Amino acid sequence: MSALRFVLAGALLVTGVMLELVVLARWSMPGATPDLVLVVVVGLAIARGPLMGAGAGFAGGLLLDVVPPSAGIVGLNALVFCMAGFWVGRVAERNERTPLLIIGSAVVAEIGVILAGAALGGLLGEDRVAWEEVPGLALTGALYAAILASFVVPLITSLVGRTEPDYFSR
Amino acid sequence: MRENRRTRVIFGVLLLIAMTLVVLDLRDSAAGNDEGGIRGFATRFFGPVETAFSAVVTPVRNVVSSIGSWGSKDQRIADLEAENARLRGELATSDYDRNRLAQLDKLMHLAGVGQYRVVPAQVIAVGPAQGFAWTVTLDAGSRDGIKADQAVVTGDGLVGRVLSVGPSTATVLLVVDSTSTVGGRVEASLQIGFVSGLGKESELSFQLRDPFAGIKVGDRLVTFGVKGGVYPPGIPVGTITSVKGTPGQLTRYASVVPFVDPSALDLVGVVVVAPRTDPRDSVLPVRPTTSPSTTPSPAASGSPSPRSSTSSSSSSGSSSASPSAAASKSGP
Repeated sequence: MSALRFVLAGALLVTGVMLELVVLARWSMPGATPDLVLVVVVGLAIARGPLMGAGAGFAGGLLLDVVPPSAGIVGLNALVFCMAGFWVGRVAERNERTPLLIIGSAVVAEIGVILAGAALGGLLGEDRVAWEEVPGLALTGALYAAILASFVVPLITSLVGRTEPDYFSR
Repeated sequence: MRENRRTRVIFGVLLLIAMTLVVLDLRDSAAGNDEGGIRGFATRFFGPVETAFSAVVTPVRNVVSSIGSWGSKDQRIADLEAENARLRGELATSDYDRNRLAQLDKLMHLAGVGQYRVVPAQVIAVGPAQGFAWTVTLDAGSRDGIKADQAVVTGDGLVGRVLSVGPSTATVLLVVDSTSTVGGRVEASLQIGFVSGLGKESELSFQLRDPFAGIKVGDRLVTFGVKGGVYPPGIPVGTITSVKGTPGQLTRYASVVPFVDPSALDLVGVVVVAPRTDPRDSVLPVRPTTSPSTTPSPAASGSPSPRSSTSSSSSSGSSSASPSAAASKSGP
């Protein structure tokens, strides 16, 4: 893994976290907050495979867990995003990179992250989980993830592809 | 295949690290240690990054949001399009500035009337909705005199309390969060109870201490203000919208709509010094109907006026004219 790739992925993740907390969350969209961090993780996973997906998911989830104003269990999002990133990377590795794959994997990843986050949080004693809101959150989250993925993932794949043109050429 | 095995191993290691972090965090919070090392480090490092991002993004956001109202304005724009577009850009910016000034005025009015000393701060980041927590980040921190467990208000009423503090940022738990509890008192009476958040944007739950208490829809709540507690007394909390249960029933509680809209927070103030005497109901705005219940009691109305010269001024030194004007307004 080249250093430049790490730095670029790190910069994309930090930018995604900042944009999500400072811009997207403040807009108060109905339902879930558009999960730009997860879409960035999905983009990196599609561009670079399951290893990058798992690492980016871990880093992005951990950032969401600790950067203010976080108040949940530290490590929960790291766990869930890591699994999502790994799964998306696996799927992208084995299939052709079509728009359906991009949007579909983002939607499934977002729904999975919301459900798993709520379930694990509830199991671990997080008092705040409101189960009656979870379906609404999952649906709106999936919608926003689909919209974001349609332009963020191609942007990421072109950015990451440009730094190392001789790697995955599919 | 080796690539595959290496990937799986690293994936497993990452999962293990994440689970370890979870266990450590659970153990830490069970022991009551809120500002753990990694979150504290992240606050110190990313707080200024968030502040910088917000400073860059907010003016752009406000110009963009004003674009939506262009179409509804005058039709004569078509003739002088370029000139009007420039003028409109300037107008949008000064609308934004006017808005901020109005918020600050309202905040200082509340602070002046109640004799709270507040540090104004701006909301720079909000927690994501799917985390179920209602928290925001302010751009003022321990360097500005803010400590954990201080109350946060706007000109409309109570916002929440400070959860944790970094050098230049602070994390605030809003009243609507499901883990938030505030001691509340019904306007113009001695009925007290607990106001709890439900995790919903515009509903709080007020549980009365006395199940026989007479409360009705439209009653307003202020903070009770236990001595040495978190919330200073007299801050407006919300209005009762419905009462469930009958007098005497064990579960008697009311739904309250908070005065402050948690999804529209911009400028807030952190109460760093609480008032020396209870402002009672003097901070509540005068009720538009004929009900006399907002008249402050003589004991409370006597004290604000002579103190107006040493009244609360924010540490940013903004206009001292408004607190004294506000103190005289609360007289009758």
